[in-house]
Amino acid sequence: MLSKRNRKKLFLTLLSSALLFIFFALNLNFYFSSFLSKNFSYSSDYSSENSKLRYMVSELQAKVKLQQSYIDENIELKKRLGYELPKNINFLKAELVILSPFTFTSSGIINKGSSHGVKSGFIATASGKLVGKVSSVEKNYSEILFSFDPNFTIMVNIGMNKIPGILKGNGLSSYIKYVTDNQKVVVGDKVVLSSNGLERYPGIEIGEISEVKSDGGFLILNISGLIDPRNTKFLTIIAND
Amino acid sequence: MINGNIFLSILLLLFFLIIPIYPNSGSLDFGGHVDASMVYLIVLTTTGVNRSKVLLGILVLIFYLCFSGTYGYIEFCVKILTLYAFIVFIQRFFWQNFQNDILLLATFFILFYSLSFIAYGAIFGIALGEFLNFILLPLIYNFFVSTILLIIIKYNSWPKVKDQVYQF
Repeated sequence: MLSKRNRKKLFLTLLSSALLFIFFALNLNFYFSSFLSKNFSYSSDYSSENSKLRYMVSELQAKVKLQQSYIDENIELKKRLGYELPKNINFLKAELVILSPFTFTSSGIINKGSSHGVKSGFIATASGKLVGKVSSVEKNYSEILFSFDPNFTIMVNIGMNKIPGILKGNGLSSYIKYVTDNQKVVVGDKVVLSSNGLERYPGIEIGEISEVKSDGGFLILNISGLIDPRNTKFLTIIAND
Repeated sequence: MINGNIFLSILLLLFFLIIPIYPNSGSLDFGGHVDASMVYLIVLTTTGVNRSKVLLGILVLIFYLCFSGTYGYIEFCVKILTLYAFIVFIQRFFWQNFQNDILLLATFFILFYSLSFIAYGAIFGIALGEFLNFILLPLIYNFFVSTILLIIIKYNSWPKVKDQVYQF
């Protein structure tokens, strides 16, 4: 006769075995098929690599289609809203080829010059964010002043009310000056390039107001969202002839 | 053979000098945070100061100055001043000890960034917080890259064994 303790042990063993059996029985097909495909199907490194690449190609094709749908949607929206990019605006692709390794360096050389249509004063962006401004142009290369260079200045509009200000570099970062302290500017206001300035750029968003300080009747506005030019490689030059 | 070695050394030196001016070249830069001129100055001075090394250091600075625009002159002057102070410091207190070399590196960087802060603060009115925010990553990267190069060059050199003459 089994003791009470042994009966309990036996009951628990049977119960756990039953649970295990049910679990495996339900998933048998899965394990079996996995086992078969792993061990008995014909495969080689070459074919597995090939299938991986095919999978990647199909994934990329899907992504391209998605991007195309975004472009189409964008064009459609522009048509509906009656938005037209000024005809004088062109986008040139350039590469930052030389950058001094000095810590506080605030300029670089790009591989496009006057022969490619670059002129002094053109804006340089990367990933839709402001990098700087073309300061001097040679035939096959140009110099770019980064947005934190002390010589860098550009007119910007702040917030919904398009309050005008001047974005200026101070050697380490950029800030907006010459906004009178009676203007309502709050943290989080969008900053866009001014289209009313001499250069007449399209209204490209370049960042957000991160700090508002008052100084002698004017506001000093710090801006966040600017790209670190030292990490960029490929630039878009906005040409406005 | 000796001429060949000298030629290779000069070629290697030129490569090390020129490559860091190309962004993302993968030589010394880590996301553009490493100041190659600082690293070279440190390596040149901590491995022993002599006239040719100082001249080489100044030439490196002048070469990089050519690509750094108008305000690069401020940094150039600060670096020359730091180099001078550092050479005086090394000539008076030079230790063949790894721990002290690390302290020397830290002193060099603190001196350079302090002088830079004074110069930039006086000229552009930079606040301390803004300055620290800007130099934090370059400081860390420069320190670690300099330390690694120092270990490789100064403390991992080929063992110097004197020729022994045997008499049978």
